[in-house]
Amino acid sequence: MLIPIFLTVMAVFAQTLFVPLNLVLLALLYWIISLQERYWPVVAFGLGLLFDLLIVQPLGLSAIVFLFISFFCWLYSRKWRINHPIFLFIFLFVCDLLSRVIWGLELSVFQAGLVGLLAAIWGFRKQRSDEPVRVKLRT
Amino acid sequence: MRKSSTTEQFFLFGLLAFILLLIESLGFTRPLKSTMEIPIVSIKSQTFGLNTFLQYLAGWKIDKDEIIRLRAQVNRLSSTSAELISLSAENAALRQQLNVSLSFSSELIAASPIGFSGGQLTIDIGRHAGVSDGAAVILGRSLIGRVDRLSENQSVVLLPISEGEKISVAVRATPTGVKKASGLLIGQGDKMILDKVSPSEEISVGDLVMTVGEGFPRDLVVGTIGQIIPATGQLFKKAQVDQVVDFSNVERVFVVKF
Repeated sequence: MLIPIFLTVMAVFAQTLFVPLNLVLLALLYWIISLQERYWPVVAFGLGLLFDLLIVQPLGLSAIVFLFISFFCWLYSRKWRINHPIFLFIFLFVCDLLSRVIWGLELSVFQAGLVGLLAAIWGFRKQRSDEPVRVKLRT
Repeated sequence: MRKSSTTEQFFLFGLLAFILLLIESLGFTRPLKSTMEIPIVSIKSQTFGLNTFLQYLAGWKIDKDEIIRLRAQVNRLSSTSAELISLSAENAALRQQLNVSLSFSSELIAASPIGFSGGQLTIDIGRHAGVSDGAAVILGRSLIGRVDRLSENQSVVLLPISEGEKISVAVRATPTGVKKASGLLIGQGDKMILDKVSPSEEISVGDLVMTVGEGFPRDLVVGTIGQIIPATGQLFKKAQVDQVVDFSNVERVFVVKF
């Protein structure tokens, strides 16, 4: 648990300091998927507050953005598989562009696509690892 | 005790965020933010230094050394050239003695960058140091940008290359300083475009692009004309403007205090 928390905080700092990629969205997605039904609102809220402090935004703005993103993910996960690479790509792509508009950062389709791609690769790997092991029986 | 459901948690934290935003708009969160920002600004400052170290380790710095040196040289030369333009015979000696001279008399506040991302530069001073919203940020005689948003201990500077940033500028001949044209400098994320230049006005590669005093102090260098964009059937002339300051490598900047 400590390692993911440390990596999340590092991702937030890295994004605000020198990495133009939306790492915080990837971190949020990790928490939503790994926490599933549990404490994602707390994580989204906390992450939002930290991000607001770092990028000098009104306190609570990113928290609202992250809460809505998480809520949509949660609703989606109740009906369909959230690990699906195509869903993750489109979702992260759209979320990246929307969040950049809200934060007043410059829009980059390439960076949004890259974030979507990273999420899709992760989703693909997770989907593969979650699949039940098939054993061939010799008759 | 009953455990709250996820939906309840969502609405509870959503409400909390809205209340925070409301309080923020009234300015009541400033003391809280100010306290919380102190360790954050300190960590950011340390981590930003680490970035330079990591770049050096990765070898990027070694490859870029020559480019950085040349850019610094261009910056110095542009600053010197701009200085010559505004020098008057009466106070030339005094200005030379001071090394850096400005065409306006305002107090300057020194600041260090602590973040550079997405066309924005974060500096380590805010309202506490006397920075105000919209203040110009300079380095020597070059324009770095303007303060876009700020808190008690840090400010975000919007650079001229930032997407959608517009600055009224004048184009001046490099050795003589004669004004050749007026135009509008538009940031496009990774480059700057000079637009709205009248077709009757002549501009050439290497000319200085300088502020005219609208929103910024006068005669600050923003860049040099890098390439004239051929205009076929267009009302105005356009040109690509090269920056004279490497924004990601500045170590100290100055905020102009109003």
